[in-house]
Amino acid sequence: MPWTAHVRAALLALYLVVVTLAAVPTPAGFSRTRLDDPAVKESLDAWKGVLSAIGVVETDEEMADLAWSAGQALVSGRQTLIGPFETYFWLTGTRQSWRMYGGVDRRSARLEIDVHEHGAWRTVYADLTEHDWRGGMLRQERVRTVRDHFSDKRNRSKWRGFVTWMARLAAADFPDADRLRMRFVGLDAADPAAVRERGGQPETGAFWAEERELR
Amino acid sequence: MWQTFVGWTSQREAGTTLALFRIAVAAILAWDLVDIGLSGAYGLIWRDAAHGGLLGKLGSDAPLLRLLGGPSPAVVDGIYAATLIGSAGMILGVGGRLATLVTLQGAMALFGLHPGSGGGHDRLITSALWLLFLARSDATLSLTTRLRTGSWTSDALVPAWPRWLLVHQLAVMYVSAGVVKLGAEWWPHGGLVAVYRSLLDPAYARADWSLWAARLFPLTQLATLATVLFEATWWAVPLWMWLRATQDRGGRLRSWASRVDLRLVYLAVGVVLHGTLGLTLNLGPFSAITLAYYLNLFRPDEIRLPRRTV
Repeated sequence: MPWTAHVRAALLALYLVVVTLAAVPTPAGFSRTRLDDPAVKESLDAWKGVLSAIGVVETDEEMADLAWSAGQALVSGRQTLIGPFETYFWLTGTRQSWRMYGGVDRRSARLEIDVHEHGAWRTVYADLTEHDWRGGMLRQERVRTVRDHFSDKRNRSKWRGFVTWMARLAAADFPDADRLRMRFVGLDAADPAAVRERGGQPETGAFWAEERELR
Repeated sequence: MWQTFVGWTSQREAGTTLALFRIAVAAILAWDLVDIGLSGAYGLIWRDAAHGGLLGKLGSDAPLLRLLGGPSPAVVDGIYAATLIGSAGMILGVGGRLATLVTLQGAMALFGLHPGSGGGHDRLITSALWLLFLARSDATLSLTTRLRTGSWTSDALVPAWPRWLLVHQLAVMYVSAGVVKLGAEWWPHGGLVAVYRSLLDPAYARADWSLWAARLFPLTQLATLATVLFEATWWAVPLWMWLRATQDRGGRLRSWASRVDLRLVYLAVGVVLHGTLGLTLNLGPFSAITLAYYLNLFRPDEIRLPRRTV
């Protein structure tokens, strides 16, 4: 085999090792306070049940400490190994981050948009209903991922900006409307029996309601 | 073992698989970009607030944006147009590696404009484009071939290693995504409720599946367990391919690999999984680009094109 074949093989071997190591998953936005997130705590509680049965942890604090130190070890170890190749990943668009659906919260929320016309509020958009004003845009997947942060109660200042942005569209689309209202209605995916009995998901109350003047 | 590896990385094969993958990736990206334009999302996510968008400041870390002085509206519009043109070039098979490079850098720039929008499918697309850039993916099923030879297809041989790296990329994605599913809802001690919860989330669901999911709850639990097992064991597919490719070395594992086509099992589950995801949840181009990667499981001689395209 010519020497070029060996060089190619060596580069490909390096590529396989580096990409595989880069794909080792690490916790997203890892910090000690993240362990206090209700969804994370729920998951840790369930894992504590398993690990305490085999004597690994006994208390909530030990479970949190274990999660914290394991997460730290993963994050710093990965950075040590992959750090030298960050420029390569940046130039080629081959960053390996596959944290997809690591956790699925039982809480979700339905987006609702109303306009105030002729003295009364009217719903113009509500997720998964016949009210579908600008539905194509709101369901566009890149907009959906932005919205998803808001329904998780993250980034409230950006949510306010989003409402203002939608108000500009509403002012053009609803010339008789003088106000816009946007909010989320919390939903709980707790129990299939409750969903069957109720004919839908239980609601847990509205949050992050915002209004804007249109005229 | 090193000599075997060098020999494997030096293998050549017809370009059919890579060409089909090239067309699929470019078409999926082009459709995604057109959808962003037609839906009205473009002005929200790819403009800064000063120009009518949502974010005060767009992401500007991508190499192309640094080169062009940042994400001004003219630069973003130009990159959008260039990426669409590059994608069209890749679909037709004209422009070679230049078209692929323009498409790759354009996609990287656009995907990074609004941090938090998009998802894993973006990285699958750009990883695919990078490996297609390294490969000779227009050796067949291309306008270039047509102009050069008078035929749309060619038996010209191309390096096989890019196809293997694409399989490796898919395996790495699946295993990483499977291993990271540590939330209790993915496991028996958490009730195996992950798929059920996903179907009930209005941000993701394409329709109100709540009653269906509640009535078919045991099926959603099975789907939850199957998803984790499927993803976490996907490393077996490239291992099986390696065993098949090195059959001459003998052994019980290779003998088993010669009798059982493991690809078909994972292909069938993958089609059901991603097909169901695509129908029930709004995940953008994720299902399409993931299924496109499955093309690379098959050698060119295992893919028969309809006679008329030959």
